[in-house]
Amino acid sequence: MLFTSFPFFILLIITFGLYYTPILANYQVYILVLASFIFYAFSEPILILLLIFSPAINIITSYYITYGSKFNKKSIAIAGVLAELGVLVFFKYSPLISKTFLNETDSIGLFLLTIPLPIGISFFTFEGISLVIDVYTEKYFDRKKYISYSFWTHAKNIYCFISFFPHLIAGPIVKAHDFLPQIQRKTIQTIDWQSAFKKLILGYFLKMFVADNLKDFTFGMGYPFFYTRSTIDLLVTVLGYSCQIFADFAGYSLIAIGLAKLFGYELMQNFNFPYISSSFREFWKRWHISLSTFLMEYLYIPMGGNKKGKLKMYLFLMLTMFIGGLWHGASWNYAIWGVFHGLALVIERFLGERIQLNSHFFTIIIKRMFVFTWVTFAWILFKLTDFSHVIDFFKTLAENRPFPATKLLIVYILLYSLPVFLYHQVYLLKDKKWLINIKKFDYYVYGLMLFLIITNAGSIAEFIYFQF
Amino acid sequence: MVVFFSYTVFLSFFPNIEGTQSYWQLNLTTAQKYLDNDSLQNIIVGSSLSTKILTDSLSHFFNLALIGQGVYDGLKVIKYKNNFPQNVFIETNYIDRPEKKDFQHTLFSPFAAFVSKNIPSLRIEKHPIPIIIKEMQLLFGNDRKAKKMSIQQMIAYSKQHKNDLLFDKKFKIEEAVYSEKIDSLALLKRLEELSFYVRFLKSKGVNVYFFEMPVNPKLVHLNKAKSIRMAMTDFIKKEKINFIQSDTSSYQTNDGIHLNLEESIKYTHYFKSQVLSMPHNQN
Repeated sequence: MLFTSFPFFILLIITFGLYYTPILANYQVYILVLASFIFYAFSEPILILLLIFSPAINIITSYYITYGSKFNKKSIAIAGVLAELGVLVFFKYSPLISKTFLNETDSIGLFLLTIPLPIGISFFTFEGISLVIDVYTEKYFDRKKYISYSFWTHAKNIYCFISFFPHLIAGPIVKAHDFLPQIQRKTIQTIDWQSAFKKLILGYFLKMFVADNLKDFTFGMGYPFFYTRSTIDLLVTVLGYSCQIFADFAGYSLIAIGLAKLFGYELMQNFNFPYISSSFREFWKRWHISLSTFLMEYLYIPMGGNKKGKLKMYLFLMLTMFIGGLWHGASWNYAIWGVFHGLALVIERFLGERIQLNSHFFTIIIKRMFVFTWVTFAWILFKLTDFSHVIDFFKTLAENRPFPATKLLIVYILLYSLPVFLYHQVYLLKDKKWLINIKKFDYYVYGLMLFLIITNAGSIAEFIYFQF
Repeated sequence: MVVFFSYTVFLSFFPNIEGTQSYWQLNLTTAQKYLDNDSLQNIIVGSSLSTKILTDSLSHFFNLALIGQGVYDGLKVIKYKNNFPQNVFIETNYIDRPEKKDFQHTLFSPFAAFVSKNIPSLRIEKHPIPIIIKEMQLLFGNDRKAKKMSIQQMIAYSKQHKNDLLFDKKFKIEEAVYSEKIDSLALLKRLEELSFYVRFLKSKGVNVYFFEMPVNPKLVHLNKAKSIRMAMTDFIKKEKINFIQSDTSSYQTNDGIHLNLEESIKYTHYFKSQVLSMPHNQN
């Protein structure tokens, strides 16, 4: 179910009504789980089995780590993580394994190719893994505090944590230590309405006005359309796609955060104005924060982080980014995208230790532009999932210089990209007195955004990150 | 609310003002216009190829050809309307292209239908940004020049700005598409669907005609075109449907498949002459 679809609004209203009905206050968690299952199974009911099965692994393993024999805890934790990874690999990477390692006519290979990709699997399996590891390590909480002795209560809480519909299919990736402490009875009086609605309006605006409209123009970057586009058109389209992907995913995250607020839950900020980053390290602290912190906490640091010497640190960094890239999709292009970013991080660290750049205004501007350009060109690997097409794309960029630019396309892309740049610019100027004064009237801006959502939304499209 | 209300009032004073930014919006607007008009006698359904038929030269015609889509969406729109025209002309070039569910979902959604009928500012062709861009173009851009040009001047202008290199690139893509082997099972399924629509329309007293839009002669004998033509020949015989004979003369296109303005005029003349010789015009 899409956050922008009519059935979703019906589900939301009914769930909200039931959730805050005083007589049903003891069943709030059940209501959320039921609504989440409906949300997930709406377009493909069979998928509900996976949403029952995958968290069940986490429920059982986290319960036995907490209340089982103290000698087996490590083995259970490892088995739990491996089982969850197995689910992820089977459903997500089978086609890639088949294409890469097996013969086209091989019966196993053909079978693997037919396995469908369940929506949101990368998100909820990672959340399950975070539960098992958090419970095992007790790094963030005392396991007996949040793992109820009653198996039923425990199962109910974990299903709520993993299937909670605002974050279920495209994040933010919620960690067990962030969510479990929040499971308690909620009252309508505690809702921060203003904050929730601001997030929702901004989220819907980024998704429906910016991303969904840009989509009508950035399709020209896809195969085979790019062959006939002029170089200027392609460059502007790449810029537009960069804004589209931000608006799509940041928009989704803001909607998720706003919706969670309506039910009394706080989800972590997933995007913190990433396109103002003046370094790649900063970019990854601002872009898809829930994934980068997950990879940092559960992969990079456990591998050794920067504690085992520089060479190993570079290696761990590359490996983390490679896996992070592959997490995005079952195509080697995503892995290359991860390596592309990993390489940037490694080079930046290597050079950063040897060259000290001043922090002059123009130096920062140039660094920001460089990071933005690198990140933007890397998105081409997201749009074109066949690497030969990526090569062709760059060849076309060089070849199509004589073709005339399409003014209308450029105007539309720049116009719909403008809110993304303004959004970042406002953040950069946030401490300016004149802006603080203007911000008192920000409800006019939210009113305008609402007007544009209603009158100028693009055609409904799936969120780009759904495929991950 | 104030801005929204003001915009709605503004549109009620200027009901003819409209703009679209994408093929998707243009297709939805075209379909919506068809649904809103009850006095249409002749309907063309097809892909972007048929949008080149100039209906202002044909009396009582409505062009329901949808860019990037096939005939099934157009046929479904006709079926949905439940107020049937006298004649339906179906393009055969992309008969293998399946229907687009999301297009139909958007068009036929009861909520969207109600809203677009009653609140003009929520109609797709009334989106403020495309309207502003269109008006700006009319004031300052190429559209202002184009508006002042005669058809002959427009033809001369497009000839002057023809880019052979770009044409070659576009043609190569079409050549690759036309060389692909057709999925015969999928085509069979499409023909079953077509048969359903043809029988349905006939049962409602509608005359059904097929026609093939001319494309670059080099593409005519490639795999895809050949397979579709063969399948359609059998289909036409089986279903006993009238067919507008394909014009065998050579046509110039922008990319191998879409006629340029001069050729659109030429084909429209041909199409008109063929329509006039059709059985329904002989009575």
